[in-house]
Amino acid sequence: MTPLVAIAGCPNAGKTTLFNHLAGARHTVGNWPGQTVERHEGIFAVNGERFQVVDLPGTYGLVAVSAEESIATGFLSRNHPAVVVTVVDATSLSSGLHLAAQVAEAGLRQVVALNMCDVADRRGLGVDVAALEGALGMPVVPTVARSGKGIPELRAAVAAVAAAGAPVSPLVIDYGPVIERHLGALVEAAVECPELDGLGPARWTMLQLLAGDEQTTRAAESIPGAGDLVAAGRRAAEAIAAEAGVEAEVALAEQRLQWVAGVLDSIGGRGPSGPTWSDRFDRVLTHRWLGLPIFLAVMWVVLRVTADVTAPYLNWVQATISGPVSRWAMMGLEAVSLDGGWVESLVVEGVLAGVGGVLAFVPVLFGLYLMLAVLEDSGYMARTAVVMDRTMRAVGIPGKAFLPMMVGFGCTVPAIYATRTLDSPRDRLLVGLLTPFMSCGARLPVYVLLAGVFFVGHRSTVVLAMYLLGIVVAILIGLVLSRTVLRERHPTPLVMVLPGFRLPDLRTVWSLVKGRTWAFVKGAGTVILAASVGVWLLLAIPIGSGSFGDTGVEKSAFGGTSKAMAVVLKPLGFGEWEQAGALLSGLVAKEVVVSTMNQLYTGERPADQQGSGGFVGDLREIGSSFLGASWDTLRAIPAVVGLQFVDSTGEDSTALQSAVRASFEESSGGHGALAGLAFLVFVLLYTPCIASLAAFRHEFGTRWMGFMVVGQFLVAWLGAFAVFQIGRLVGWG
Amino acid sequence: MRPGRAGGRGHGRRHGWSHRHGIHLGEQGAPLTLDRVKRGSRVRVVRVRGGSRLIHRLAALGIVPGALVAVDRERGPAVLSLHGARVAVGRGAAMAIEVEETPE
Repeated sequence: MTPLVAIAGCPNAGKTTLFNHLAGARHTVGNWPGQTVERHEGIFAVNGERFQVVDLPGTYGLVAVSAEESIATGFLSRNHPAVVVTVVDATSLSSGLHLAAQVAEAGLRQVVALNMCDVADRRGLGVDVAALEGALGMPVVPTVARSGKGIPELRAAVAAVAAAGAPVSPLVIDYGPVIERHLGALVEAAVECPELDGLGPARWTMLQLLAGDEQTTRAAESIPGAGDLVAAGRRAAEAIAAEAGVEAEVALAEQRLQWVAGVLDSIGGRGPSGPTWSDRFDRVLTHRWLGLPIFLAVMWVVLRVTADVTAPYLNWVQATISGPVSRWAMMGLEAVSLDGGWVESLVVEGVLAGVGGVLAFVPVLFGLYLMLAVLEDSGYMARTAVVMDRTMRAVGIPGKAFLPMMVGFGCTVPAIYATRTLDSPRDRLLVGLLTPFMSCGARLPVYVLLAGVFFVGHRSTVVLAMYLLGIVVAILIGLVLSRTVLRERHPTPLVMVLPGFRLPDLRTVWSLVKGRTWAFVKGAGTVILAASVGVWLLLAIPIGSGSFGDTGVEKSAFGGTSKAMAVVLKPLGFGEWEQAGALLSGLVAKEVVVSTMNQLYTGERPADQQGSGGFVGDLREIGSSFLGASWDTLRAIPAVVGLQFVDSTGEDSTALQSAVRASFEESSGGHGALAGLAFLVFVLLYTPCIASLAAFRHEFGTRWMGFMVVGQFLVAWLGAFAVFQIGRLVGWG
Repeated sequence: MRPGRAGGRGHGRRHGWSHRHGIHLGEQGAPLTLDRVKRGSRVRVVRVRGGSRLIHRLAALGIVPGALVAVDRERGPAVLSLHGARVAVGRGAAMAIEVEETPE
């Protein structure tokens, strides 16, 4: 079996960067089982011997406070890694060594990676590595993760510790007479219960019981015969609190910090340093008045990059799939005499459209992940919590929710993935459930069409009202969810180290962007593809007369489903099957609502662009349009800093407009404008698209996806119902 | 670390406030907590009241009784400097940290 190496460390100690250099290219990004916490895994080899390496979520200590810390501590106590690499930030030795001390107390074999040595040296905080090694009694390797310095030495140290094989004797810290007396009695009692050994050295297990660590307590309680010990531990903790005057966990932490202080004293030479450029920079970025405008400017750039700068590539991907690639597929089918029938239709309109649907998100997510990785790796992301927390908390949402919700105005899919920047799984889920209410760009054409039909003079007012309504609904739903389904029993306190600023490491950024984008294709791509084929099937299956793959929309299973749906939509003022069908097709993507209406009301199909210049011509077309897309992207970059509302949905045909008006007037019994408004509210609030569902499922699981679909449908139905019925009562429209 | 920034006037005002409202804050006035400290001052942690999660998290970062911290920003959330690291502390946590003024 490949020996397991776990990388532990405080958040922002440089773990991920170190991991990237350690594992090199053989690096996969996944999620911890049942958790919305990223899991990075890889393999490295030293002299032919292979090691499996896992990057644990950041943790400040081995008594878990947050869900992420539970993953790290649980992994260490259950999986017994052969070696733990504890990444210690050399510029903030104290908290890092506090963690390293606990890993050593737990009896785990450990190598300390003293990271960011270059920064420490520059600040005059240079560490005498040999002295530290002597004081800690374990190997210490100075590293600079960003440049890869010290990585070969770290690998060698890990291999040496793993090869030594012999069990290490756990670190013993003197906790002073009071604690030691109670601790000694507990350890003695623990001898009676050998099953406890599975949790680690007896002294460590008893320390964790005294500290009230929930995982250890639960694990001990499940061991037959250890129940008395847990109770004795609880009594001892109370006795210590009474004798020492502070809670047992505080007394323990104080002694441990004193041990750390002793180690720091013994290596000496750490004079206080003046404020660095990073500190000065930070004072501006987290300044009470300057912080917010700077933050908003940064967020603006993030939104523009994900929404606009990547757009030309998105168009290029779609044009390539629907143009040359589809033509090649048809030529291929022609060669095996399968052209013209339903097989061709399935391949082109089902499968290839689905593949296009997946690939279309790749440039968008690439842009998002690039921005996220730069923000995270530079240290700015941690500041966003400080800057926005007060404002956002006022409406019951954590400060870091601002970024995903804002990205949601561009597209819901990257918004859902942007919830990864939040600090706890619960916050992630809460914000993930709210992002779909942010009105994404694809909903705009629907607003523009209907507002153009019913509210000619007030088009922009209606569009703006939709955006605002989305924000209001998100806040209300957030308040309801955080008081009901997602009520926090044990809120994680906001206490975090602000990492020093640094230039982002290109290698780490690239590796994160690549890994996360690929995880999307694997995790959500299949669902999007399946959905595309599913919709094609609905359109292909005839109800009553007609043949498979060649049936009118009204006579297809799609039309049947629309008619069934229409019944439910009747009280909202848009109970015609065409309207229901437009909403149903809107599940594929919101912009499809307009083209479906076009097709159902006027019988116009979107024009196919069927030019063909042969295979070589196609290749040339792909290449030149890629260059064109790159050029457009370059040109879009200056627009990032300038205001420029894109509103070029083109003029909708008057035939469509009058057909829509007639249909809404009829379905609503003469309240066309009101029904139109209700329809817009429904479009705003129901499921944005299948891709967003696939992304949501990828991040939060099938159960929560179901919750979201049903919940959003109810909210949309109620919202549209309120608009239509109350509007009618008031005699409006 | 940041000399001369902690104006005594501000502290006096705050103590005065807690005295005037002593009825609401207990007989001897409420102990000074981190959220009521003036920006730029240096304080010593006296004790931490609160759940064990908060105590663990703060202890892991070195915020234990006796620790000296500089307050760079007082609330919404507070930003502290200690041991050369900068730590953000939310309002709930700041209210749970009792501190005392240290002479400059």
